[in-house]
This record gives sequence, structure tokens and C-alpha cells, in this order.
Amino acid sequence: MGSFLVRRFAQGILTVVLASVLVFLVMRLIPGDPALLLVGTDASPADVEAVRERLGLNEPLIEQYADWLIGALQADFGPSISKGTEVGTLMKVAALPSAELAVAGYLFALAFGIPLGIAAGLKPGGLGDYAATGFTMVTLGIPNFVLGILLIWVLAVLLGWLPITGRVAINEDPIEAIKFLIMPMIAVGAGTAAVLARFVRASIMETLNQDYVRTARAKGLRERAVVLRHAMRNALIPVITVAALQIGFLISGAVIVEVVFARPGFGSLIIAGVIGRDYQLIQGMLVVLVTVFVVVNTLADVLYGVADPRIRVS
Amino acid sequence: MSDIPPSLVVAEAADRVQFDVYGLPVRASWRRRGLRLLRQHPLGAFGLFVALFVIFLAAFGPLLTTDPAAVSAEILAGPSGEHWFGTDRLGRDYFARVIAGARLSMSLALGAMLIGVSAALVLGMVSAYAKGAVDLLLQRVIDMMLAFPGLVLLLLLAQVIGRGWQSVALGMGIIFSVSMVRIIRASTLSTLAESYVEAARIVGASPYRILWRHVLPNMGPPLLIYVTTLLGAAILFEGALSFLGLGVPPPEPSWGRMLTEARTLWKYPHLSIFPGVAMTIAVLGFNLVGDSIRDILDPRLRGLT
Repeated sequence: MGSFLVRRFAQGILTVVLASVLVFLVMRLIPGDPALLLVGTDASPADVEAVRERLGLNEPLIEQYADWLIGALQADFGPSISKGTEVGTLMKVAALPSAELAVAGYLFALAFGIPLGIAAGLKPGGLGDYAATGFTMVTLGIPNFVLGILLIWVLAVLLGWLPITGRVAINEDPIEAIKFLIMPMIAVGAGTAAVLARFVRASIMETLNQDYVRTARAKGLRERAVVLRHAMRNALIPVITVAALQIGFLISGAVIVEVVFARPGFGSLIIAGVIGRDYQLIQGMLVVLVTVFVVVNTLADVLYGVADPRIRVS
Repeated sequence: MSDIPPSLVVAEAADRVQFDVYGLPVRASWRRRGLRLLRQHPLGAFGLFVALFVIFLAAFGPLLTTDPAAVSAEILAGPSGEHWFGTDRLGRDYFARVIAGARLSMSLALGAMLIGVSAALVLGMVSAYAKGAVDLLLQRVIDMMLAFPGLVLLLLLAQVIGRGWQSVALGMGIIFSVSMVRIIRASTLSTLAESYVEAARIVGASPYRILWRHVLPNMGPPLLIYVTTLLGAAILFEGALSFLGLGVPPPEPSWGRMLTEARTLWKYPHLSIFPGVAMTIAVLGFNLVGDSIRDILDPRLRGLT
């Protein structure tokens, strides 16, 4: 187990470092001089040169990268060109609303997708199965931002139950905050819920066909015990990986759903960065996003290894 | 079985399988086998119908509608006999614009798919054939790119290669190729281990000839599974990019941009419903076809993702 953990974490760190190199190089390929963008086109060449010097753009690439990496490790991602503040501060402010949305969406997906999949898998052809199939069919086609727009139209505009856009901090007014969170949460989580429902359904149906389930039934266990203790535990192990891999999709889905609901967060920030050609901002955000992504995937692998010892060796 | 008269069983079987003069079963005709596949996969058949319909609209629809750019005094009108989908805030016919959006979406999707598939084929086959340092380097680069969530990587690429039709197609193509290279590489490796490849090498075939004549023809099934699903993903990505204001710039009508423009006009639901539903139907159609193809070609993956 120990060497498995070490190997997996070393891989994760390597991926993050390589990805940060890639982001850094790509950001340098972007046409246009960031210094010129900062001071404006009517500035004197001396001013531009001074800014280049201050941003460290005159040093060799390797040194620029090393400087940036050392700063990034201390949560210092340099100044944002378009916003005029530190990138680290901007991300700190945006992290909470984004995390809130991602966690809520994920919980929704788990709480909705897994029971639906179980109901469908235990009784194929039953009512639950039809519900699950219908739900996954629709969600398979509908992009999350379209779902968000349709939700706004029905729940907010037509019925007036929920506020259209915006966000209230959860510590200020919890009830209002939840009202603002419901629609974005569904829009972010529905796709993941559908994937989980489908996967859980298939996994349960497969497990119920296994010999050990037949043995459990043959020795006279009650159906409850057979399903809960023998089938379910084995059926849900592979779900861990699928569920964890979905977090990445969820994060990139949240980027666009945040824009639909005009919520502050990583999504709005990254769009602002792209439109403002703010390379420091984008660079910092991408590296943070990749780190989150890799950490989550690594944890998923480790968790899988804990749940299923066969994985550790291969 | 015992309570069915034997003659009926034979008649039923004879309906499906035909025998030649030696009493061996004859392979059914293409038409018959196609129909059988459609019958066995009703959802896939439905998806295929939808996908073909979307492609048809994209190809010929704009010839049947009025000019999507023609401005009129009828601003923000609801659906009517004259304007099936109503009009937008410049009085342009929304039906014509939704159809024109299908053309943009489909042409971008096809462009991105062609770029993605050819890049993935070249990179995957070369990586597998070259082995050693080239393989290692290429695979690490792919690993790096796979570490990014797709949409985020697309935003990054949009920043570098700019906007416009070609850039969006190129950006999506790169993402698609990244997701396919590994599969191509794995299939190439398994084909290269076949004895007929060894035979080709012994008679002195060049690497180019081996890859082109012996490896490439085996790439069909793994690619086919991906291609239709990618078309659906491309429609989705194009919509998302345009929605964020980073897609193909106006005046070309795009579903994603129509949704953005409708966002402040909540009193006119037709503005968001028609492009939204059009996108959903198109994505659903291609996804259903993709699912069925995967079920047919690789039953082991059934139910996954």
C-alpha cells in the first residue's frame, strides 16, 4: 500500500509540474506584448521597457518560469494586468463561490444519480428503470448552460419561485443563499447524475448475475441481505472511480454555468482573463484548476485502491 | 420449446437465416443486416434519424429559408405562421437563424473531427511505431493536456489561436485528437504484434507502407466509436464557446451566441428555447448513435460512461 501511495502521488506531482510548464509556454506564445497591453499603445518606449523589466519579461524563459513557480508555491501568482490586483487575491475571493457551487452540484449528482441507478438496476424494466432511462436520455443531449437557461425560464421567470441570477453569501442569509444556489446546482450536477445513474445501473445488473450472489441466495439469505451486503458493496466499488472522474467535468461545467447565472467565481474570472488577455491571471487559474483536477483524480485512485486491493498491484 | 410445433420453429429460423446448396448459412445482405441492427437498437436508430435530419438541415436548410440576416420592422415577435420561430430584436427571422446555426455547428463539428482524427492517427501510429524517446515524449505531452478539463483547455487554445471559423475548428480538433491518440496508439501496438505485420517487415515493406496498408485499415472500429460521439461533443463545445463570447464572431448565426443574446430578454422565451432545443436535439442524436455504435462494436463497454 505504501509504495502504491508514493507512486501515485509522484505521478500526480509530475503531471502538475509538466502542466504548469505547458501553460507557461503557451501563455508566452500568445501574440501581443503584455507590457504594451498594460501601459497602453500611446506610452513611450521607455515606459514599456520599464514595465517589461518590472514584470521580468526580459529575463530568459527558464528564469521567468523558476521565478513564477517559486512565487506560485507561496500562493503569489503575480499581478493581474486587467484587474490591477494580485492574482492570488482574486482567486481567493473567487474560490469560495465556485467551491460552493461545485460541491452543491456534486452532492446533488450523488444524491440523485446513485439512488436512481440502484432503483433501475435492481428492477430492470420497472418504473425506476424507465425514470432513469428517461432522465439519462434527456440529460445526454442537453448542454448544462441550456439546462440552466431553461430552468431560469421555468422556475424563475414563469413561476417566480427562485431569483434569476446572482449569489448571496451563505453566512449572510442561508435561506436566500440556498435559493440562489438551487438552479445552478441542478444545471451543474444533472449531467453527472445521469452518468452515475447509468453506470450504477449497469454495475448492479452485472453484480446480481455473479456466482456469489447466487450462492448467497441459495444459502437462504433474505433478499435484503443479499442485495445490501453482497451485491451492493461490490457493485459500488467501480462507482468510486467514475464518480471521482466526474469532478473534473463538474469543474469545467461550473465555469460556464457560473456565467449563465451571473455568479462570481472561477468561471467569470477565467472569462474575464481570456477577454482581457490577462496572461498572469489565466496562467495562475489554469495551474490551480489542473492541480485541483489532479489531486481529485489521485485521491480517487487511492480510494479505489483502498476499496479494491486488486488495483494496487497493477 | 417443446410445446411449439417443430415446423414453426424451422419456419421462424428460415425467416432469418438462409442456407446455400451445401446447407451452410448464407451471410445476410447488407440491407437486411442494416435493418436488423436498426431493429435491435431502436434508440440508435432514432438517433441516426435525428443526426441525418440535422445534417440535412445544415446542408440544404438555408436554401429553403429566408435570408437569416434580413432585418425587418417586426421586432421580437412571437412564433407565427409567417415567422415560425418568431423574430429577434433586430426583426430577423428566427427560424432562418436557427437553421443557419445548424450549418455553422455542423460544419465546425465536421472540420474539428477531420482535424482531430487525422492528427490523432498520425500521432498515435507514429508514437506506437517509433517507440523509445519519441513515444515517451509524445505520451507525456498528451498526459499534460489530458490533465486539463476539456472546456478549460479550449479556452486556453482560443486565447492562443484566436477566433474565427478556422481557429475554433482547430482548437476543438486539438482537444479531440488528444482524447483519441491513446486509443490509436494502443490499437496500433496490438496490430504491430500481428504476424502479418512481421511478414510485411520481412519482405522489406517500409514503415510508411506498414502503417498505411496494414495498420490503418484496422483503425476503423475504434475510430468509429469515437467519431459520432465527438460530433455531439463538438456541437456542445461550439455552443459553449459562442455562449461565452469566444466562438465564431458575428454576423454568422450561432446557437450559442443566440442564447447569450437572449439572456437579458426573459420576456421573450422563444429566443432561448428554439436554439436551446435545437442544440439539445442535435447533441442527443449524435450521442445516441455513438452509444449504439459502441454497443455493437465493443459490447464490453456497454453501460460505461
